[in-house]
Amino acid sequence: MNLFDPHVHMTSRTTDDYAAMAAAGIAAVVEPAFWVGQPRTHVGTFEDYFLSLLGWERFRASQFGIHHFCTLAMNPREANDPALVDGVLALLPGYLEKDGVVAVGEIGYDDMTPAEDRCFAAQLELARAHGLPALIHLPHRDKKRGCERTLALVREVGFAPERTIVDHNTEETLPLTLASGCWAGHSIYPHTKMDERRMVELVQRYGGERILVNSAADWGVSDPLKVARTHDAMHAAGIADATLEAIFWRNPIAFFAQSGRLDPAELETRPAIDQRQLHEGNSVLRGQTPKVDVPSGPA
Amino acid sequence: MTGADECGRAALVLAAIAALPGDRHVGFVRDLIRRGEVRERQAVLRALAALPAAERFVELAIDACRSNIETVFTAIACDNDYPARHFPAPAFDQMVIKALFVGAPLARVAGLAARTTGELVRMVDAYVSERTAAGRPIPGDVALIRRPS
Repeated sequence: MNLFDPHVHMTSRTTDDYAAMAAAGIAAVVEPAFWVGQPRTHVGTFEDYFLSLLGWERFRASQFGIHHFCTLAMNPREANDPALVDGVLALLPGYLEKDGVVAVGEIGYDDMTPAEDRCFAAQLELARAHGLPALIHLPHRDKKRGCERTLALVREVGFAPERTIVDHNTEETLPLTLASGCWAGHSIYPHTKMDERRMVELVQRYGGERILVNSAADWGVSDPLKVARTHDAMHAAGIADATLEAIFWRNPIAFFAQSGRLDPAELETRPAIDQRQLHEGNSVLRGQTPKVDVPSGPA
Repeated sequence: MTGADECGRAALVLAAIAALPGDRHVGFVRDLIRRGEVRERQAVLRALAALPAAERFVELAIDACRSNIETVFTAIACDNDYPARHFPAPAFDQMVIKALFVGAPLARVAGLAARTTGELVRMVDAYVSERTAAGRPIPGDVALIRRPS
């Protein structure tokens, strides 16, 4: 079965990770723009970051037979830097029109400051103006209150809940997210956020409708195989195949296809691997024999 | 822990500030933090409370709490009078919750008892509830948050 990781920061990962993900069944990923571990100090570094998500990273994924999409935004944490916000918000309209951009995100709250409120609301408006769904990050601290404020803002702005995914849910936020009509993402982490066993229990309790699972793997201690591991844990727990197919393949496709930039039919075929290809003159190879295969049939 | 290098660097910052006109102080300290490597940043953060009209640096100090580098975070959050003296309540509360998250010792947060508000108690209670629902251990430091009388 093909698996979809709807939230993974591949720019922080190695080619070994791409190879392991492909071997574990990951056929498509969405990479949200986020914060890169320490604050950026110039608007121009955001532009280069957006370009790398749309260019080099998409190419790298294709070299391992993985479809790569991205979401672009000013992230909540850096939304607190007044020297950056307006400049990045001004960049976004041009980039939100690009192929491969399937939502505005990650947006939302970190410290829940007035600056974050403004940036969050402005980007929901951008999503609406560009006909894109929104991917919302729940804060790590004071998460339940953050979820309540998030859902209140989505309602206040009048952004369609069926075009909204609220990510990093826990036992305490999932009922709120589902009741709002939004889609619910879960980030399976080695030590924080959510783990496989708890995710199994949540699906046993709430089912698979509007539920997504991701690895949110990034530059920290995280695991890009968590989607595959959680799938296996649910299978072992006896969760129905139809539910698994919804959570790990149909749901992310249905959600991000609302952008009009992700063709479900195209996703049924893996990109043919041709490692002879170059991206602006660069190869992912370092002297190895290029791997080349013919396109596989429908999955 | 504060090192001898940080004390030396802090003395240099104080001397440089004394030699600069007041309207350049904030920009100067911002550049030191932005362009500093880890221990340089820590040294500046530890010196903030000693700078003239220290309240001018509050946005820089709040921003330092957003660092993912634990020693940079603890340089402002622990053994430092600055947050208790100058942070508005929402920023102080977020700093304390982050300290619980990353395991920075609350016993070393200066002025914690005096700055504990009902809202901070609510946030700590919510954190305990979230950890309980997740089946995760509760950090012992939550006992250091006492309901304000």
